[in-house]
Amino acid sequence: MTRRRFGSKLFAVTTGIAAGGPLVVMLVLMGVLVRDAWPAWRFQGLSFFSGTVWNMGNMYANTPIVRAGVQGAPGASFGILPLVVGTLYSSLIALAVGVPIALLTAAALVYLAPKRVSMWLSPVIDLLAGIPSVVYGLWGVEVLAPFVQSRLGPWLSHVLRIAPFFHGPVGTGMGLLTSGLVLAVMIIPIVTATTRELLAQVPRLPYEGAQALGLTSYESVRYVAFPWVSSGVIGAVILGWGRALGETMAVLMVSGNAANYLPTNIYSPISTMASTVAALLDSALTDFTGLAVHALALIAVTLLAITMATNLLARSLVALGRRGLEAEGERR
Amino acid sequence: MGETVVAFRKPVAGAAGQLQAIRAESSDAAIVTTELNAFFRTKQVLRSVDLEVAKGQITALIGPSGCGKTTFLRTLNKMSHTVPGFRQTGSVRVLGQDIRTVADVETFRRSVGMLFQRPNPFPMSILDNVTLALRLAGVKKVQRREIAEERLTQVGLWQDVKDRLDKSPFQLSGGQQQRLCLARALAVEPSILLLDEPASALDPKSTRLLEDLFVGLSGRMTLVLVTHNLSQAKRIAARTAFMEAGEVVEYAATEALFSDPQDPRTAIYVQEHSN
Repeated sequence: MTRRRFGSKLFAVTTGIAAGGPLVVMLVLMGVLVRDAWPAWRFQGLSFFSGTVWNMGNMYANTPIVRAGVQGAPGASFGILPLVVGTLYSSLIALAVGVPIALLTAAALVYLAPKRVSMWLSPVIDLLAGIPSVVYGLWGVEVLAPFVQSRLGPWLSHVLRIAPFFHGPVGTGMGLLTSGLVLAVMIIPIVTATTRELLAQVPRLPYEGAQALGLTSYESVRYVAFPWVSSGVIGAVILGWGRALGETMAVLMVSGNAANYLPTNIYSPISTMASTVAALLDSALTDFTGLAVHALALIAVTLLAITMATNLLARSLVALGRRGLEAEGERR
Repeated sequence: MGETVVAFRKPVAGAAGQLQAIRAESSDAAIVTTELNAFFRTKQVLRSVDLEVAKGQITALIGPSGCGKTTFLRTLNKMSHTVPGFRQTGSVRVLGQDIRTVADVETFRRSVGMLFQRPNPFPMSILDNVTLALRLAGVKKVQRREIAEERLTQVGLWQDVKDRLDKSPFQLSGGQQQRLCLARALAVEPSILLLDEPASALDPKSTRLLEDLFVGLSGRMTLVLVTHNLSQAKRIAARTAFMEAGEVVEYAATEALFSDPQDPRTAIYVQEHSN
């Protein structure tokens, strides 16, 4: 009797800890990051976001400069606008290219492909999601970048010569477009796999109703199956976006590592927030004032905030779209 | 005479010509099956079914679960044919056309509507549920709206939903949802309506309401009703077929089938399931 009560108490406590875990980790992570980033914020202020010059200053100087009570290396200036732009643009290219492909693939796997084909193909796609990003990066360097430089870039630049952002010198092939495409390839498996699971849960009856009404299979998927799981699909897209925003290694390898440069066209070299943190940490650690590391922490905080903001934005969009529609139906 | 009627209807774009051709060809039977066998892979589910469904009447299919009546129904609008491993031998003529020669299955299905075991509204507003198929067929917005009102009125739902046409159909009761699905099916003006136990999930009052609608539709339209509910067949069907193990055991006027079954299997089933 007592043993049983002890057991259920233990169960409640352990599950409680496990369930609260993510929240605690999140809060601790944010607390540590914000504390770590705080000096850089005081030193740089709002121009951290609007500035286009990232310069860790003269790290071999003997005397630090002091601003707002924070010591920094002489000449230090931390502006991350190019990084923010590079991160957002490359991830949006990834979504624009990757999401349509992923959604069509998922629909094909669930509704069109013979069972035997989808049985073999689905695990392959899951496997693709688990490939280390450095492998994708290497492929980007060895295959995709030369292709963009010699084929895709010149072609796009010619075909879309009226569109300003697409016309221009193609450069080395390392840059915004290649980063976006590598990211697209990386998010396709995860968005496809999630969407496939969602579509598989759409009840058979509404879909059959659409077919019986004379809708084509495309129309049935487009107007009945996808709307049925719309919020989940948007969640899958956000998942992919989050991955694209935070991807470090692959982008670092193909971005061209532009310093303090705002992209002028889709072939421009860029840097992203995540890859900059990784690339510069080593030299930042040699800053005798310690400010450079704080600035990198502030980049991390910004990245975290952007990821959370995109999440919230997408979620509220879903809520807005569903008001008056499925929401009531589910509440019943 | 028949042609004039067709011309005055406002049929969905494209379907009109084909329907007219079909009508001219057929006699008084809307559906004729000859030696129809159906298989799911190696399992035979229909055994040489010969059945004639008269135009403008309600024809009921009864029989124990798994007897093939739903498969038969779903073969008539080629829904069975979408199931992997489904195979058909023998012929099915719907509105005079052998269904194996149907090239454009979407247009074909617009002339053969279907209502399912449970209401299956689409995840969109009440109005869009009725007008989606029209919209995809290219009917103009004003006209779509008119047809929607007409059909919703016809199924007795207009008063209930006219103030919340842009709201979710999932708030409606089961009976209302099923009538919405009926309005949705009627919007594309089918000549035949297939009913797959349409009232099995509904309360008695909603069931009666739906049955009255079916009776009202017969005459203008051919209805084929699969049901477990024998008194439902008795109430509304002109003719009834009793199926068992994939075969049509007996097919007669409803009155005759229930009061004077010729086959002992029919007699036993009817006796056991009537109360």
